[in-house]
Amino acid sequence: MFSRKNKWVKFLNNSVWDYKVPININNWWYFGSLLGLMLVCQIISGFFLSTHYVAHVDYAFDSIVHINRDVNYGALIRGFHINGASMFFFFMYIHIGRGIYYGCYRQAGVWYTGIVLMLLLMATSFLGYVLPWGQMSYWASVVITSLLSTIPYIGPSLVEWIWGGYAVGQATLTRFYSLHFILPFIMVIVVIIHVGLLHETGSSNPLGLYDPSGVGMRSFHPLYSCNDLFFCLVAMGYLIKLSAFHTWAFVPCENWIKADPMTTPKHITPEWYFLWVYTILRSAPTKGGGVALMVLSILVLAILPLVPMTHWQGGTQFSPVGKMLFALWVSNWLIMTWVGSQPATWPFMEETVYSTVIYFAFFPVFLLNLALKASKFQLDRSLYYKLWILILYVSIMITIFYNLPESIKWTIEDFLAN
Amino acid sequence: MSALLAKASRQGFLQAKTSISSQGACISTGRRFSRKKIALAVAGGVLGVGSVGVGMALLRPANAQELILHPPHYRWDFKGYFAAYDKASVRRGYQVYKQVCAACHTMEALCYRHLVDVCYSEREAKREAEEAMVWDGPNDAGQMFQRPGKLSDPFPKPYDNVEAAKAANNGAYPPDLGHVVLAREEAESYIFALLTGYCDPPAGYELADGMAYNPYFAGGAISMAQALYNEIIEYEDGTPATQSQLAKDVVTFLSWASDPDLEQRKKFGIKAGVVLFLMTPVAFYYKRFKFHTLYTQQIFWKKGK
Repeated sequence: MFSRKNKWVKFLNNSVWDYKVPININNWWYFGSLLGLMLVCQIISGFFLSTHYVAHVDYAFDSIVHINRDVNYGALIRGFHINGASMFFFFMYIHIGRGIYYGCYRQAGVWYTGIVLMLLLMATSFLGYVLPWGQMSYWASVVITSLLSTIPYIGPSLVEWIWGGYAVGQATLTRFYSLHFILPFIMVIVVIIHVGLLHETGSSNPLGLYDPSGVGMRSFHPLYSCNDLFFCLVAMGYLIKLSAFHTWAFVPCENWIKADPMTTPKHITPEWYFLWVYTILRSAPTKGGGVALMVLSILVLAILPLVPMTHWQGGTQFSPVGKMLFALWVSNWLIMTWVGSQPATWPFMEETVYSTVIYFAFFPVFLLNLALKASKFQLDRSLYYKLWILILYVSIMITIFYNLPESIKWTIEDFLAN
Repeated sequence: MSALLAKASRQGFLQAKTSISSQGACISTGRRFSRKKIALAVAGGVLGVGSVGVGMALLRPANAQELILHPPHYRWDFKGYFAAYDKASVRRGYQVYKQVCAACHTMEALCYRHLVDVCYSEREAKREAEEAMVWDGPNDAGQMFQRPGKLSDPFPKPYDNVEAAKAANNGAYPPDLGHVVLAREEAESYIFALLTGYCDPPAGYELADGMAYNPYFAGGAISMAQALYNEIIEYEDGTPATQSQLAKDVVTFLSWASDPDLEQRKKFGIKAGVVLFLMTPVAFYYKRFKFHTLYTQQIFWKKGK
């Protein structure tokens, strides 16, 4: 039954056990399997929490208190779930950064399913954040769902449809709970597609070389399986350290107060992993502009596979300019994360504009740099792709300009006039 | 930067050490930097980061708009990887809570049973519970009645409802103390500083009737009057009840009340840490063992004839 002649065993064997991996992949390549580990951890810890959680506006907060105090290892399991979400995002950002640096976006199918996974993770974590029904949970749900009201024509109706009424309430909580439960399983399906597409072409590698001969390849087991085991143990060590000793480090203090629709918290800040998006949202003086930029900040990743295709599959690793651009972009991302946690005053509000401009400006300059490099190899470059990038960027820049604070707009206009 | 990134990304993995130069070494320009250039880049980086740091340091006074005095960071003895709550202090803190705080504040999440084997024996906790009279019912005749408390009963509430609590406290609702330590920025240190930080308002500060001044409270004006004084209660164990001792004990009790599971989690963390401490080096050795042929091999590319 388990003979390798069996087609299912053969399929599994070819996709896991004997899957050929380039020998030169470095440590940044292991974050993919760590993400898989985190997804499994979240599903298991989430299942145990769901057995004690009550999705009712009057009892949700009390059921969380009950889990913390009266359920065996309840607080620890919550710790795993909360800190696991943070680690999930941490690994995901590293995984995306690795993809951009080493040109992994050239595998378009893998890259696009990755973006879908990112959106699914963001949605799932937001929905989960609402469930404890503390002050931050409630107000986060109000603020984020209200963003949809900026969609022309259908916005206000859409928000009410999502709320299930005229305000965030019982119907909202129940459906958020159901969605929070089902979305991870959809993520599992997309992960399977993501990995399946990856296995179609094979893993990328730091040199960006394609090796059809298989000389530079080795089977996944035992080399990479034992490497993954080591990294998984290290990741579990961090997760246990966070969950056991710093359990509530990522829980804002306002969320220890039961949701009160009549009292707004003093500072509403999202979780650390959404702070960069929050900075982009705050960079625009109008709500609609902020939401548009926020959506574009994720969709902009989708233009990376449009980079001119060459026989050379590398990314920025051999381009000093590309490296500098990437370092600048990562630094800017870190600054955005920090600025997002600061109060909405000077100089932070002004800084958000510069950070947003740098964030978006990175992509065309980065692609241009790669295109110039590709031109040296005299390979295929399509006008069609260039047009797409141009149209997208003109629209982004117009959105940014129309949302710039008046003072900066005047300065630019004065500069252009003179 | 490019040299650092190249090092971090470990492209040296496939570099042949013989006369054949590797691809990474050929194309990366970082390796061609002279010492002078590297020194200049490092100096520039240090200067840049330093100036940002100085700017941030200078920015701090400009942000002092909210008139909140931040508490000092006290060293709490239950913080740390191998530390646990001082049970004697939790017991004294409960005494302070019962005799002082419970007059105005609720603690909805806690029942008398939670005290068992923490700071009271089961018999002592039952005696504590029986001191409170609890409404129960209806009985067989359909009447509500009062009975002595049981271990399963929550701590009694000082007011019947929120409105009554507000009416008795200058319009301010005394917050529930169940999670008060976790629900405040700077947690334990803030509560200790608040309890011991009452003083006269500065000159020119208008204080409304019935309000007290506390620099640690946002805005300074607080509805809660100073509650802790030297010798306000007498401890069962004879510990001198100074104001700071009372505050320290009640903060320890409130910390335990907010996070009673802390010690269980730490125990788990230590056990799991020991297991991982043993397993991870074994996994690392095994990984190196499996990879050693790959690490020591060289690949040559030769032009075909």
